[in-house]
Amino acid sequence: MTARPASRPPATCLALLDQLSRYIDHELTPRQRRKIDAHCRDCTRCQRMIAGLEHTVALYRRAGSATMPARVRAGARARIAQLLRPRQRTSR
Amino acid sequence: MQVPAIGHTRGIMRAVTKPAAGNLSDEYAELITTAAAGDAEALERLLMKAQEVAYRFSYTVCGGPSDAEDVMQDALVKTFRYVNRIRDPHAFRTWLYRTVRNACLMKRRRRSGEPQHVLSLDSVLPDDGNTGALDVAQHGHSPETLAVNAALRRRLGKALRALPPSYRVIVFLREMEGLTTREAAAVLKTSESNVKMRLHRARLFLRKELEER
Repeated sequence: MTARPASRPPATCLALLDQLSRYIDHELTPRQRRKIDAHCRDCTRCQRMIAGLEHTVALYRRAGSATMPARVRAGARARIAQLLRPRQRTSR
Repeated sequence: MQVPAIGHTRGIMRAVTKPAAGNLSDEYAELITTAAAGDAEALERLLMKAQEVAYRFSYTVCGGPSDAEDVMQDALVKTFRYVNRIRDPHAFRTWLYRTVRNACLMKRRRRSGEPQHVLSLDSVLPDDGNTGALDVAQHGHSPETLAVNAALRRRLGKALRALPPSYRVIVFLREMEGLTTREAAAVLKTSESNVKMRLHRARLFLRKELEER
C-alpha cells in the first residue's frame, strides 16, 4: 500500500483519514477503532499520520495561549481600578 | 526516517495532555457566583480573567495584539455588566468567549494576505515520502521531556497564522484554551460536527506545516 508512488494516499487510507482525529480523541466506537488498528498494522503511512497528529495536538496543548506582558497586565489592572472606583465610593 | 510502531503511537496518545475543560468552566462559575454575591476580590479576579481571555484571543486569533486593548476594554465592561444580571453561572465561560470573539470581529479589518477561507482536503494531505525538516512524529518519541522553547513557539505560531481564521479559532478554543466541542460550537454558533470537521482539517494542516518548515 505504501509502496505506491502517487502523492495522493490510497483510497483505503483516505477513507480512514477523516476518522483519525476522532481516533486520537477516543470518540470512535470499539469496532471503528479496531478497524483503524488493523489497517495500521500494515500501513506505515497511517501510523505516521496518527503519530504526527498526536504530537501536533500535544505541542499546541502544551504551548497554550500567549501570556500577557507585564505592561499589558498593568494596563488591565488600571482599567479595573478605574471601573470599580465609582462603585466603591457609592457603596460606602 | 524512523517510523514509529503502532504500539508506540498508542504510547504517544496517552501522553497527549487533555485540557481540563470541565474544571475551568466550574472555576469560572464559582468565581462569577462569588463576585455577584458582592465579593470585591472575586470581581477583580473575574475582570482580570476576562481581559486575559480577550488578550489571548486578540493575539492568537485576530493576528496580533494591535487591537487587544480595545477588545480587552470591551470584555471588561461587558463582564462587569454581566455580573449584575447573572442567570446561569455555568454559561459565563461560553458567553465570555463569544463576546470577545464578536469584539474581535468588529475590530478586525480585512487584512491583505489573509489565508483562504476553506481548507480543501488536498491542501492538508501529506506529501508522499515527505521527510521534511521537522518530523513532528519523531519529536513525539519523548513528548514528556519536550521543552516548548521560544523557537518552537514561534514555529507553532507561524503555522497557526497560516490557517484561515475560521480554523484558527477552533484550534485556539479547543486545543489551547481547553473548551469542549460543545462549548466551542456554542461560542461560534455552529454545530458540533462542524467544529469537529474544522478541527480535524486544522490539525492535518498544522501537522503538514510543521513537517515542511
